[in-house]
Amino acid sequence: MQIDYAIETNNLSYSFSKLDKVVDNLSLRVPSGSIYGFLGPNGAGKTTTMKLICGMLPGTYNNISLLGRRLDEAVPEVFSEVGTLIEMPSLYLNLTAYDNLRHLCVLKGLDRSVIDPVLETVGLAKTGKKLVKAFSLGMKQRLGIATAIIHKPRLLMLDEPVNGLDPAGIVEIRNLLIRLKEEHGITVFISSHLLAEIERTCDHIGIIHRGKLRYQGTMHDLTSRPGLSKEVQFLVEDAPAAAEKLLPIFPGLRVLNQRSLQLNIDEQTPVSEINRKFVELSIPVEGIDVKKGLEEWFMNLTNEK
Amino acid sequence: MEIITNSIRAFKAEWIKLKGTGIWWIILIGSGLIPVISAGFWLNNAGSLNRGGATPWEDVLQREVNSFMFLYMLVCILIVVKLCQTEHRSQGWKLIETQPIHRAYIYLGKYTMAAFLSLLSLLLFVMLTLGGGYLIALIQHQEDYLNSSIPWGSVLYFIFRIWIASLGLLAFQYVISIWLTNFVGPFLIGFLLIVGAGIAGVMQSGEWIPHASPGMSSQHVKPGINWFLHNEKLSVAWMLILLWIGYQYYYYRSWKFAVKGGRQLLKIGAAALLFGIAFYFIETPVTYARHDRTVVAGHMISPDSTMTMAVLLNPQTKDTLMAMPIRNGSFLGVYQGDPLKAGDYVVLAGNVGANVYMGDKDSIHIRWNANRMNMGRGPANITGTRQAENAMNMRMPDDGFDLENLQNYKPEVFADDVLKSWQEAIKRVDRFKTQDNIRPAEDFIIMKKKRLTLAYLEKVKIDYPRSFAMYNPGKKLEYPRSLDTLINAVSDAETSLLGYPDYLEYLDKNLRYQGKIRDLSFDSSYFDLVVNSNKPVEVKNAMLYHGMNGMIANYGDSAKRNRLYNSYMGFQKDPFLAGLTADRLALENSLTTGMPAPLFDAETTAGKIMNWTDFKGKYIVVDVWATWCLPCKREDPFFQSYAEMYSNDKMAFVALSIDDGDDQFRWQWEAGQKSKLTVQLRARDKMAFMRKYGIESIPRYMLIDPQGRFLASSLPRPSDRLFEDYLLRVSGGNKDF
Repeated sequence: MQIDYAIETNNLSYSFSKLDKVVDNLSLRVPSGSIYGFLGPNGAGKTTTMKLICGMLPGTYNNISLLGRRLDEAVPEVFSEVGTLIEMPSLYLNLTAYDNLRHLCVLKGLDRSVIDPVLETVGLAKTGKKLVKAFSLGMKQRLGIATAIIHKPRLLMLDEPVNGLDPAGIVEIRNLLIRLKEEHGITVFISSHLLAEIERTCDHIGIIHRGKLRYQGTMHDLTSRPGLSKEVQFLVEDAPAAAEKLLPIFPGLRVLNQRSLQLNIDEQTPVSEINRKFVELSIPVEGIDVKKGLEEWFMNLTNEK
Repeated sequence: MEIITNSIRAFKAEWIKLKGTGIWWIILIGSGLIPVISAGFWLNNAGSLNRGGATPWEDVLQREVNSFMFLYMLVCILIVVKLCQTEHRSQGWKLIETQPIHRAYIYLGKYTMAAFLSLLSLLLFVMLTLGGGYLIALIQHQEDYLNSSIPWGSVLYFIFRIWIASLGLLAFQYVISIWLTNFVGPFLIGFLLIVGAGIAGVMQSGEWIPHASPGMSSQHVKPGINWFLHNEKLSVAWMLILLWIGYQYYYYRSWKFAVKGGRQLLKIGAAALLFGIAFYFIETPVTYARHDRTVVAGHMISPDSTMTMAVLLNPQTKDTLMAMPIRNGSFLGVYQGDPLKAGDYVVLAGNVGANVYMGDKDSIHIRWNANRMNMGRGPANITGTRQAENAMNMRMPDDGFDLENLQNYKPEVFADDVLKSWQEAIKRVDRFKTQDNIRPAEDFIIMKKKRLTLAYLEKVKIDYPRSFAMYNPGKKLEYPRSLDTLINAVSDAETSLLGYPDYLEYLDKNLRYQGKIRDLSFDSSYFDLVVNSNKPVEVKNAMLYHGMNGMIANYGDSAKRNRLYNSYMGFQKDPFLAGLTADRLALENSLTTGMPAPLFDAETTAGKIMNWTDFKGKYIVVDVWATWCLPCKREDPFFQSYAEMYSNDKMAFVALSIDDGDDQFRWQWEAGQKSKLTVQLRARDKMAFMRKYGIESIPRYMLIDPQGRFLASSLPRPSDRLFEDYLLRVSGGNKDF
């Protein structure tokens, strides 16, 4: 059965106390087969939303559907097709990575032959008898991801999955998610407070702030919003001299100091195109620094009171 | 089907998670500590103990289990806390809640694991205790243990019941361990409840606390008349309700949501109601009603060949009320005579007996284990309509009350102390119930309370006034009004208590105090007081009977005895009591100095029949003893040494055994070890011999003159210097006369 949305919520609200709504009227649409980035600053309500979607918070089950089924009817069978990693990974510190996964295999009724490939996938194949309590933060995070994907779910929900990972690890996980989507058609729902992270991985995005959904759509739609521009700084040998040559082409060019020039360009214009002009005018560029407009826009959005 | 696979999955998952939690160490140390310690105890203290088990193994297990219970409950608590801590510390709840298996399986899987591990702990304990015990018995050659095989069936059933009794505690600990995420909280609460239940148990309350249950079960290897004790049933009820409550919290992850909404409240109300009903039915004590006939039955485990008849005896006359043949160890009789007054009776089967409280329309069943009897009296298991009464008599003796140095108490303080202590004792009777939750019938309770009150009344009416008068001459003693409840609790004319010697003793003391007659004086002024008192005739009869008995026992002079008897027996209006007194006097007279010692058949170890006539021309010093009689054995070396010193052609020393049944083989062996200067004999008909000689307890020493007449029917014990005085008197001070 082909379903449009892997996750769907309709006007979902939740509060821990009467005064403060942590989740306010949220209507998420996570299309099947997408990598959906759920973006918001710390405390925006991301984790609460994810817990609600998993049925981990007491109270209302209504307004939520998971893989096309109402949550209250789908739990717990639906978890054979859903993998989750919410907040800190839940790992038994007194066990090895293998035993942690074996425990899950028993609960899920899986054959234990699936364990080794998954450990391979997340890069923990060589941990052997090492107990999880001796694991680094990054290793625990990887094992957490392993617990979420061991049963080859159709929907993967990851809360801040690259937390605590080193840059190489971040890239690995990013590639893994993209591979899972492309090879297995998995829907991935990840939350993050880092725009750059979401931008690199996701094709859909939802932005939450103070419990409210501020934006939802494809990544492409977001980046092609009119009025978005980016700020580019060029590092050159002699900035004033270069500016003289460039000003006719780029009237908005500003000299920041002896070595730096700044130019605001349209979000869609590639930086390489500007760089070519520099080269054509025989101005050697020693470095380029791009400040994206999206980031600026996001910062403004989430700074609103 | 799905239920089973899911349950197995949840249990297996828990199993994996046990690694590295330290739970195995807890079980190993908790279960091993006591067996290891008591192994040392065994090595140093060889010897068996008798707690009424079918074999010594059950006795030893019961003792060991009793000391294990505290540790066992700690192990239970630690197991549960550890299992839950695994989830709390790993935030595992979150993980297992997003698995394709219903939370109830996870929840119950964890509890099942806790229960399973507790059972393992119990089993390990039993294996170590009995296995270690067997080894020690082997090393030390303790025949008692080696001769009986370990009764695995009853041992495992015992362990199983203790386990059932701990299910409520496990559920309680489980719920608070899920709720309180730290380690200390649930552990401390559990620990305090164990201690609290222990204290409450001493005060005979708080039996309903789940933490009290294992301790209660551990005191009874056999469950009694039902398969399970009431506390074990209650434990299961606790488990069900607590697991349900815990699940509500577990499911909603908050108490707030667990009680939110009308439907939820309705469910809680229904659960509470169900539990309340179960609690009521399990915990309300039962009191047995009377039967339609008066029946005495019994069963003897491993009876010996001489046990062919069981008899029901009148407690006062020792007359046989009913005789029942024993077949295959069992006997049964329906009593057809005049209605029996409720009271203490004796059931004798062969050479073993039991005191039984019963009355008209009671059905009594007695079970003995002949192998486990000491001195003819051993723990008998009495069931039937008077089960609770007999259990109470066995477990709660009429406790005396004692205050030293009465002169140091002001009347108000004394009254206060006595009253408090008395009320406590009364409360203990009111609270008494058997492990099967049976309470004695009201008539028995009333009687029991009155009898225990006697000791207090004696203090209040005699001892304290006497001491007060001595230290406060001229002053009048006035008790506070609050003491009236105690003073009026038993009147001086309780006809229902007349069958009990302690009540007659109490009346006697009162009479003497008021009439200023000293103790043990039975002269005419005493009997005047008895017959002239304004008490009901029934009471007077009983007091006269009591007084006459005392008089006959205390006055050695037969002329004086007979004079007092003839002067006052006219006042005895009860022909039955009159008959008893007459018999008693006749017996005593027949045993007085100068009367011929009754003849009876005795046999030597070789089986040769002998009689006093075979000793004609000799003084005979007789020691009446039995192989099972420890005091006799303590006196034996003295007796033998006198035999070495004094026996010659004019004086014989006879050790007369009253062993019968299988004991006679033991006698044969023991008699062969004794000094050749003593003549070893055995009475062939123990009962007839004892009746003829008025013997109620042994050891008993007698001196018979060369003409076969009593010189003394009761000598002091050989360990007493006075014993030798008699020997010197008859030998004329010359050892070799």
